[in-house]
Formats: sequence, structure tokens, C-alpha cells
Amino acid sequence: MDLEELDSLLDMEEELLEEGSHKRSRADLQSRAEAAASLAAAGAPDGKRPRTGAPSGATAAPSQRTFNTLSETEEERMLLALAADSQPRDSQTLAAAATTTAGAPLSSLLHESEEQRLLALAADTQPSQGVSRMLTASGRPTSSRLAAGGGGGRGASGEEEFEDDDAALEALFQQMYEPEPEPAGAAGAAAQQQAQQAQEAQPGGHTATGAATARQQGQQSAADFLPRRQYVPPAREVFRIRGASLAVTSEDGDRVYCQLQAPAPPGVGRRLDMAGALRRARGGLLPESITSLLQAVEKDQYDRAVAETAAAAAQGRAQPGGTAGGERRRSGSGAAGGRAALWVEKYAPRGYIDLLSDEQINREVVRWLKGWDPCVFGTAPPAPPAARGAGSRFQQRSHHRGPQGEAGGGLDALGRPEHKVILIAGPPGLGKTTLAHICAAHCGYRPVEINASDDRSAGALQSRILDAVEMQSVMGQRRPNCVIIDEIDGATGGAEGRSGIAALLKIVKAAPGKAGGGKQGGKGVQQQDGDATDSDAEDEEGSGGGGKGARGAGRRAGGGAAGSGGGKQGGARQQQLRPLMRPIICICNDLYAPALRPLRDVAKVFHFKKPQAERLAQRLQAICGEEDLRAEKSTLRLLVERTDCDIRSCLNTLQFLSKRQAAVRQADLQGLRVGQKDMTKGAFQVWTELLQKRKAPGIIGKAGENEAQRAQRLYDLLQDFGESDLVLGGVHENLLGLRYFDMALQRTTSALNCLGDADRFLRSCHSRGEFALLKYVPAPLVALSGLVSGPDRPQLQWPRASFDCQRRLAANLATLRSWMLGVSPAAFAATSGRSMVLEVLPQLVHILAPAMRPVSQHLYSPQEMEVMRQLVDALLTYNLRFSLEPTPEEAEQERQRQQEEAAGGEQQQNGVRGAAAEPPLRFRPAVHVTCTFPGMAPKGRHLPAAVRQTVSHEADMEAIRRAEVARRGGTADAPAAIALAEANQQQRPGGTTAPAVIQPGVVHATLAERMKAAAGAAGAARAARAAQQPRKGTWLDQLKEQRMARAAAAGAGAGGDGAGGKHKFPVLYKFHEGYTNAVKRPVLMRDLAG
Amino acid sequence: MLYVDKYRPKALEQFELHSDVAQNLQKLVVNGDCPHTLFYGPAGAGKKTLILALLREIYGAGVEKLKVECKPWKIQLPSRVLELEFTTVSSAYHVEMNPSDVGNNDRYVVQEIIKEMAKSRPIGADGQQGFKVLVLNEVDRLSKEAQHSLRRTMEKYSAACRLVLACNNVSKVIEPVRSRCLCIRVAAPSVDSIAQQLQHVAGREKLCLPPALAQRLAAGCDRNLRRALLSLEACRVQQYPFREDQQVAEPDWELYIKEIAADVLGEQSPKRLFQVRGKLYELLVNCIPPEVVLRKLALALMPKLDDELRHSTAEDAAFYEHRLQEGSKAIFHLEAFLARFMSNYKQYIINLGF
Repeated sequence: MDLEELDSLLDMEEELLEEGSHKRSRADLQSRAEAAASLAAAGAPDGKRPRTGAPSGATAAPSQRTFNTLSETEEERMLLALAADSQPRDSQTLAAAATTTAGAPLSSLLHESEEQRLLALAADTQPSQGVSRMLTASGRPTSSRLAAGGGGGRGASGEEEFEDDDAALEALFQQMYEPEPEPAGAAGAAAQQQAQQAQEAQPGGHTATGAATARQQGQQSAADFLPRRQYVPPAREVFRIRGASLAVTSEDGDRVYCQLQAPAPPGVGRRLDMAGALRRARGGLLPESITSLLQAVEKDQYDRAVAETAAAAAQGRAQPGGTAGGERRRSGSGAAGGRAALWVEKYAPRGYIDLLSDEQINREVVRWLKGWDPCVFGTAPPAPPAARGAGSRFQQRSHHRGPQGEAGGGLDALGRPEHKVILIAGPPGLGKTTLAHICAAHCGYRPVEINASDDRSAGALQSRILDAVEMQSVMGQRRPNCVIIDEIDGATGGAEGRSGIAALLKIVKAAPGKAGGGKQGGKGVQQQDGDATDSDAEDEEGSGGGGKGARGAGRRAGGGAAGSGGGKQGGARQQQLRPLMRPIICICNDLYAPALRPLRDVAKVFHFKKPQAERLAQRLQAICGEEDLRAEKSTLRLLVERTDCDIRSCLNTLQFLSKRQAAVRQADLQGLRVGQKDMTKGAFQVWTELLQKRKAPGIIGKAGENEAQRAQRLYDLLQDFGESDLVLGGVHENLLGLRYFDMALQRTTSALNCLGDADRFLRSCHSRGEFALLKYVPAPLVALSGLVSGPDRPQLQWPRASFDCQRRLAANLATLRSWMLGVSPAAFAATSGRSMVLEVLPQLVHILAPAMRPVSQHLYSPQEMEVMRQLVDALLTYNLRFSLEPTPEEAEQERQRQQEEAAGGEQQQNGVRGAAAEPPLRFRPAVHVTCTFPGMAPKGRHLPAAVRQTVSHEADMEAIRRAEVARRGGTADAPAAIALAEANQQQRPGGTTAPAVIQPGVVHATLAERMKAAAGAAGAARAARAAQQPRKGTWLDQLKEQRMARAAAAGAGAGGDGAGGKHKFPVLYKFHEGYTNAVKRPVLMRDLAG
Repeated sequence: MLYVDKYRPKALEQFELHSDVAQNLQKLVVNGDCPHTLFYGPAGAGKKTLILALLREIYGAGVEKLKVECKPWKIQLPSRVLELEFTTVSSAYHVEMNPSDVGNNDRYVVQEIIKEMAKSRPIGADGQQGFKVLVLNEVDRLSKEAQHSLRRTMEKYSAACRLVLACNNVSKVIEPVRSRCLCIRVAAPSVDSIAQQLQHVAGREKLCLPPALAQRLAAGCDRNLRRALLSLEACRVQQYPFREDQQVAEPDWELYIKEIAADVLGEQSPKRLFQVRGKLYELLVNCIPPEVVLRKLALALMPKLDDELRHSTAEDAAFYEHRLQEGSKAIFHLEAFLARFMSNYKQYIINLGF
């Protein structure tokens, strides 16, 4: 909206006020506008076509002559725009307005843009009748500012008095029709009558026929008085104009004065006669006018309908609504062509009191909106809710974070409520959007809706919200905007949606403190004292300059001013975003959509509940009465229940039925599936349906479904749901928790057999790829349902156990598989995986836990050393190590076990302390889990930790030794010389299996590895030196040295490359053997390696 | 090294248990050639030992140089590329694998990989044998499609490759495959022969094994020699000089199944069934095959039942094991078996008039 234009418009307004004939000129202008509108509505896009011989064309023709001086293109576009937007409700008033006294034509010489502005002005200055509309049809910047005058809505002033919209409407119509226009000639009266008819038939009035009649009437009236206008050119000087004049200023400052003609003298009747004569003279094709013909037809239809209704009433309800009934209804409501509108729109609530939704929510939303009053309108905030009970309920139900209510103390410095945005959540069809619109209108806002049909990427959403929040419609309804973001969860899903929500949050959270909260607050208060109409948020910033230009400049530079004012505190980061000064209402279906999470924290959340079924049924009955559709209350109740209180669905269903028959009975609802919503059901719902036999709904006359119907319904349900695995799992999980009579578990057996059958079907579907067989899968489940379902609502659980089982099984299998790869090939080749689990592992737990004393290795007897050797050998053969420290999961399990034991009893405290301190035998990889079962004591001997450590160490050393032997065996060709028993161990192809045995993943962070790494680095060089210069010492030392060198080389070769490369520096070791410092003796590296 | 591995016969002439089979095999390959063979018999009877010995008989000791590999394979199917990973044990002369490990895709393994392996002749394997051997384990667990794919491969590439198949249940191997093989039954050893083997091993280990303990070990191992030897070793580790009344450790899973059986006999109600379900899950999680669970359950229930119930329980066990094979959710069928048993048992008790 250009500000200059606004200013010039204001200028004009002022001048108009100066003019004495202000009122009359307004009337003139309006009639002019109506005439133009009616011309356009007559379907004359170029103003020349309607010479078709039809009466409407004929009447339009003279008026077109009047306008022929108008500049063609612009004018036509404007008219089109007018016509396009002339809603029926407007056109009714068009008719009314058109019958008022006509003024002089102002039109011809006026600059179009000015004329448009005048039109807008005319529309706008009709406080009692002005529902003005922004015209956007033509896309031209000027025409977009056009507002066509119309009546039927509530004026800005009239609105507060009327709580009830309908009441207001009625009053308005009375207002309109009480001063019956005196010049009502025959045709005019007829037209008037038509308009009234249309209006009576359709209080909402959105019908095409209604519009057509009204337009027709407008045309007639226009045609009647327009030809008599006299062309008076506008003048630059006011004295050249005789009589009343109107000053018109163009965009570039040109000012001209136009003469205002006095209203035509009484005698319109004569004019109308003249019009009739004109028509007759022009020789219409019809002997009678189309209007009278139509009227005759309607009257005829009406009479017939009345007769038929009487007949039908006599015959009673037995007669189904056939064609006659349909015709009757058509005629009954057909005068206004009511069939064209969806009932949902037609009977949408018009005012707050019509709302069907929960009263509490309605009130809270309104209260919240009213909470914006201090900020938006500058009025006092609403009183806090009454203390008696309601307040506490209010606090409970709304999601307050602070202790104080929304109104009252919750206002911030700018007079805004605590929550800047509300989120209304609830299932579809309950009237959330309607509630938002009506509440916004009720509180004096202009609802601006942004819904899923709009582009809602972050940028677009932000600019749209900012536009709506910071701008205001100048033309027409001068109300502050209230942004309603509908379906915020739907189209704003995903990453894009998240950014959209983020943009919204940024706007919402734009802190007032950023731009100097105190100062702004003060201004806000100032502004509250000032006039309420200039309530633009931006005015605060520009309030330093009082003038118009300054105001405009303030708007322009608003951001900059705020930035400079609060720049020190706020910084440049948020200079674009001023604090939110208008309420924002968000609407969603799924409150818990992931994208909405951040919004949930900020917004005040309303859970929309279903309206009361009784209330909804009442409303439906009223609507049925209105539409002459006979329906019992019980039928409507059934409908309501079936649709789950979805108002929209109810109305659509009824409208659909009304097309076919005159009465709705319960059979209709059952036969048709219209009342049932096609909803995707959750798994829980499906399980509930399967496992619960619902009682027949408590409606009189409604028979409960029999078994066959139930089976069919369940079958369909399962077919539709599809995920058989999930259904099976859930049924299985919950089956045994159900309550049903089962003396000797026959039912349970049969039910489990059913599950088994379904499983077999599924398996054969999948294994053979014949998915056509899937249709048989639900059948066993239906049978099962018949067996076990009861009237109680089952306590259902998600089937965790089976999923858990699968997960753990997979983990165990993976462990086993990786373990088996490391088992020595000879053992592997002779044992299948199955026998490993079933036979070998359970015994290994015993075999690998021989009795050993927890003493130093040096103190072992030769027998014990032999045991040790065998143990190490077995460990290596089966690729196992003792796990010295439990893995985190095991630690957790262990902790739980100990807790349970502690809870179980104190009696174990004394004797078993030592044993309890010893954790059960664990291996690495953790294959022992396959032979541990909960509730069973871990088998095998408890090896003391010291022994385990010794054995582990020994096993690691042995692995290294073997790797070396294997390497040597690879070079030397002497495998046959080695004993048969050892052959299997040592014949292994060294290159491939050796890394498997001492792979770093298995042997990590042990002493051996550290040693290996050190030896790999330092040992090689030292060994080379040692080989060159024989050192003094025993032959044993030399042998050990040589051995170590080889081991080092092997270690470096077999995967220690990286480690060797990493440790370039010598590593120093200090090693104390034994577990205490009691025995100390120096140990050399080579002793360890040897 | 465990006794199981240590005293496993390496050559056919070393066999004491299945000496007749071993002798026949020796005669079979005396010319350095052999037909396709199918070894069948229960677990722990000595199939794999026989196969390894047979290979050694054909190729000599070099076949004992085994390596275990787990290789990823890519199979180009018409619509997609199938990526598989399975383990092979191979020597220079043979490849051993378990194609049923890959589950539903086993026929692709047979069609592509086995065919690929069978096609190529071994080169440079000392030239004396013109064929290599493919050992396929658990062919009874192969799907029917896979088995059918095997038929043609066996005939077409017989010049370059011999198949040695091993399975537990020969009735699950399709007739055409069976007819292409020399079927060799490896029967489970009798309890006495197992006891004999245990004494033999004990003697070589210089252990003094009381005959009564040997008999008990042999009786408690399901005629599975591997199990018997492992038990023996476990017993020795637990307590060496053996005592006659020494406790023989049973595998935990068997104990657990016995626990379940006791639970079921103790109370018959959905609630108890629900408790038992958790235990069944534990068994399955610990990789115990469901058919083994079912069989063991039935066997664990048997001793406590009257004759009339034994019959029906056995019948039910068979019935549900069949269903178990046809389905994929083992828990349903296991539970159904137990429910059926509970139902029968309870009715029986009621009829008795308690």
C-alpha cells in the first residue's frame, strides 16, 4: 500500500467533510459505483456486447452509453474487478442502494484512479452497510485498492452491540428495508421482492441465483436513472461549478471540482415506465419480461410443492423421497438456488454464539485475544476471570507456565499477553478454523489466513506473517489483522516445515527488550491514550513526527529508527524483526508432530475436544429443518457417533442424502458408508477392535451387529490395515492377558492355533512370492477374535517382547558368527554352528574353568603347569579369552542382579560374600551369553580373578609364540616333523590365520601387546646389532635374545606394522612381578618374552 | 586341545566306531575316484569326521591345511545385485560351505557360486586328481529350489567336481539329489560303543574312568559322541579322580527346558503360559533351534505323564513341529504346543475327578 495514496485519500476525506453536501455526494458516488458494478455484472467485459436482445442486455445498453466517455481499458478492468468480487450479499445491498435516489454522474472526466478512490471512499464511508472487500482481481496496483461498497455485513461500529451475528444481520436488513425507497415502481418493486425472497431463502446468501436477481435489479435501476444524467465537466475553479461540488485531488496534486447533482426529483416511477416503454419499444423477443416469467415459474413450482408436501404428509413417512420430493425441495429452497452452496459453508457459524465447540475453549481463545487489546486497541485489558472456581479451572486446563492468568498481570511492557501465539490442536472437522475466524472477528480483528495451500517455505511464511502483522488494510475494513496459520502441522512437515516454524518462532520471539523495552512501553501507553483507530504498531516508532508525511516516513524508516534507537542494546542481528504486535493463532491436527515441538514450548496450547454429541445433533436437526430434510433425532445422533463428531462430515453426509431422498433414516446410514470416515487406524485401534467385542451403541432401535457383520468388518479392517506382522505380534503379545472364559484352555489353544495358521500363510506368501495369498491372512485372525474377544476394553501393550527377542537373537548370532571364524579350522570343520551352541559351548564353560590356585605362576607344580597349558591351548583353539573386565552391558546386568539379590534377602550376606565378589566366568567374545539363562545360577567353577589374569596373559603370550612358529613353519618345510597333535595347531597357513588369532581387536591393551609394540620398534635394531657382535653371556641368554628378535620381527610383520611405525622412541618398562610389593626382583624384557 | 579334537580319527583306517563305513569308503576311493556322496545321520555321529578322513584318503595329508574364510560375494541377479557373505573352510583340494546359512537366498548361492566353483578344474594340485570336492553341509535345510538347482550342477560338472553332502535328515533331501549320490548312513553310536570310546579316550589320557560313570555319561548324551567326550572332559576338569556318583553337568539350555516342563506341569493357566513365554523367548534368543526346544520339551514332559497323555503329547509335538517348519514365528507354535498340552492335561486331571 502506497503511503502517498493513503495520504491523498485522507485529504479527500477531509475535504469531503468540509463539504456540506457530503452525505449526498456519497450517495451519488455510491449509486455511480453500483451502476458500474451492475454494468459489469451484466456480463459486458467490453461494454459493447450486451446487445443480444435479452432484456438484461437491453437495459444495460443505455447505461453503457452513459459511460462511453470513460476511458475504456482501466474502467473496464475496474468494473470487472467489481463484478468479480460482488458477492451475493453485496449485491443484495446493491439492489437496495440502487433504488435510492440517484445523483448526477460524476464520472466521465474524472481521472480513473481518482474515481476508483472515490468509489472506495464511497464504500468505506458507509458505516452501516459497509462490508468492503479488497479487490485483487485485476492485479493492477490501483484497482487492488478498490473497495466495492456492499451491505449485509456488520459495520465496524455496529459490531460491538451485537453479540450474535445473525441478530446483527437481521437488524441490518431491517435498517435497510425500513426506509422503503419511495420511488418503487412496478419493476423496481418486483426486483425488490425478488431480492427479499432471495434473502429470506438464504440468510447467508451465497447463491448464484440470489446474486443474479440482485444484479438484475441493479441493472434495471441503473438503467432507469442513468440515462437522465447530464454531463457536467469538472472545473479547476470551484466557482465555475454551480451548486454543490466535490473536490477531487489526483495523484500528482491536480485538484478539480465536480458538480454534485441534486437527487432526481420524485417521479422515478415515470422513469421506470419509461424504461419499460423503452424495452417495449426496443422490441424484446419475449412478450413478457424474463423476470415475470421466472416469477411465474417459481410460483408455479412453489404451489406444486406445497400441494405435494401436503400429500406426502398425508401419506406419512412411508413414502420414500422420490423425484417428486426432490423437486419439492428444489422448489422449496430453489428460489434462491440454495443447492449450489455446500451446507458446510452455508450453515457455518456466523458468530460466537453459534460455535459448537467446547465453551471453555471458546472463552479462553476469546480471552486470549482480548488480552491483546491493550497492545492493539489501547483499551483496558479484560478483567481476570471470576475467582469462583472458573479461575482455577482455567489455570488447570490451559498450559500456563506462570502463575498469573493470560489477562491482567500477564501483560508485558508492550501490553501483550504472556503467550504471543496459541496453538489449537484437535482432530479434523470439529471447527477449529471456524473458531479461530469467528473469535478473531468477534474481537475486532480481520482474520488473515495462511493455510496449506499457500507457499509455506520459511521465507514466504515469514514475509507473509510480517505483512499481515505489520500492515493493515486501509481500504475497507480498517481492522487490525489477526494471523491464522491453519494446518501448520501438515504442509510444514520435514526440514522445510521446521525452518518455517523456526521463522514463525523468530517473529514470535522478537523481544521487545531488544529495541528498548522501557521506551517502547512508554510509547505504548501513550498510544493507548490516543485514538484507537491509529493502532498500527509501527506508529509507535514514528510517533515523534505527528504529521502525515512524517507518519509515512516513520513507517518507511520504522525499522531503521528502531534499529538506531535500540541498536546499542539489540545489535544488528534482529534489526529486521520488530516485536510482534498482533495475535497469531496456529491450528494443527497433530499436536505432537515433530516439527511443532519448538512451537509447543512457546505457544499456549488448546486441545480441541469433540463437541457434545447432543448439541451437534440439535444443530443438525435445525439444519435439517431448514433444508426440509426429515430426520429423527436418533438418526442424527447415530450419524454424529459414526462420524466421531466430525461436523463437516455430518453435514456433507446429510447434504448428500438430501439430494436423493426427503428423509434420512437409520437404514440409510447403515447401508451407505457415507457416515464412516476413511481413517487410517493405528495399530492399537486394530488390536482393540480385534480383541474387544464392542457393545451395540446405546441408541434405541439400533440393533447390534451380528457375528457375520462383525467378522466382515474385522476382515475389511485387517485388509485395510495391512501390516500383518504387526497385527500378529500385537495379538500374540496381548492374548494371554485377556479375560475370557476358558475352562481348560481350549480357547487359548485354538487362538494360538489361529495365530499359527496366520503365520504359516504369511510364510508361504513370502517364501513363494505369492502375495495374492495375503488375503487369507486376516481370516484366522477374525476367527481368533471370535474366540477371545470380550466386552472389556483390553489393556494393550506394544509387542516389545518379540521385537526384543529378534534384536537380541540377531546380536547373539553375530557374536557367534564372528567367534566361529576365529576357531581353529580343524575344530571348525568338524563342528557345525548348531552343535557349537548346543553341545560345545555349554561344556566349554565347565572345561575352561579348571581348579587352579590363585598364586604366582612360579609356584605352580608341574601338574598345574600342565593344566595351565591345556587350558591355554583350549582357549586358543576356540578363540576365547577370559574377559577381565565386564562390558558395560554386562556390568549393568550384574548391577541389576546384585540389586535383586540385595532386595531378595539378607541371609546371603554372611557366607557367600567371597563368592558374590567373584563375577561369573566371562569370555571374550561374549559367547557365554548363549548358555546363561535368567534365574539359573551361572555354571562352571569360579576362577579367581588372579588366575584369570594369569591365564589370559599366558594365552596372549602363547598366541604370539604360535604366530611366530607359524611364520617359521611357513618358511621351513618341516610341518611333518611336528607331532600329530600339534600339527593341527601349527600347520595353520600362517599368513592368513595368524592375524585372526592375535588380531588387535581381540588382544588389546594387554601387556603382551604393549610389549609387542615396544619390541617391534626397539627389538629389531637391537637384534641386528646383537647378531653382529656376540655379547658376553650364557648361551641361554643368546638364545633368548635371538628368539626375541624373531618374535619382534614376527610381531612387526603380522600386523604390528602400524604400531611399530608409531613408536619410534624406545619404551622403558618397569615391571614388578607378583601382586604385592612383598617380592621384588628385577625382571628383564627378554625374560618376559622368553 | 579338547578330547573331541585331540582324539578325532584323521584317517579312515583309524576309525573304530564306524569302521565298516570307513572300510567301505576306503575301498571306494582306492582308484582315486569317488562318486557324489551324501552322508546322513544325527549330530555327533561322525559324519564330518568321516568326510574329512575321506578327503584325506583321496588327497593325502595336504588336505588338512585348512583355512577359514568369510568372504563377501556379489551375485548379479536380473533385477538387483545380491550381496552375500558366508563362511567357507577350504584347502587346496576342497571347499566346504554351508549354503543354508544365507537363508532365503540359498538358491542363488547354489546357482551361481557353487556352479562357479564346480566349473573350474583344480590346477597344479599335483596333477594326480582331476577333480575337486565341494562339501555342502546341512543340505536338508536347503530350500527346495536350491536343491533343484543342485541337480543339474551335479551332473554337468561331475568331471571337475565331486559333491559331498552332509545332512541330518535325509528325508528332507529331494529324491533326485539322493538318487545322484551314494547315500551313506552314519548312525548314531550305541550307548555301549560310546562308553567304549570314552574308556578308550580315558585310557589314552591316562585317566581312570569308572565304568559306571562312563555308562552314565554315555547314556546322558543322546548318543552323541561329541557330547559324551565333552562331558567327560568337563567331569575331569570338575573333579579328577572320578567318582562313580559324580554329577554330570547338563547343558544349561536342557536344564532350562526342564524347568519349563516343570512349570507347565505345575499349573495350567494363561498366566502360567505367559510366564513360560518369557522363558521360551530366552531359549530362542540364545540360539537354541525351536524344533530342538519343542522336541526336548516333549521329551521332558513325557516321564511325568500317564500313558494316555503320552500318546497325545507325542502326537501334538509332531503336529506342532510340522507347523513350526511351515511358519516363521516359532514362538507361536511353541506356545500353541504348550497350550494344547496344558489343555489336555487339565482336562485329563478334571476327568480323573480331582
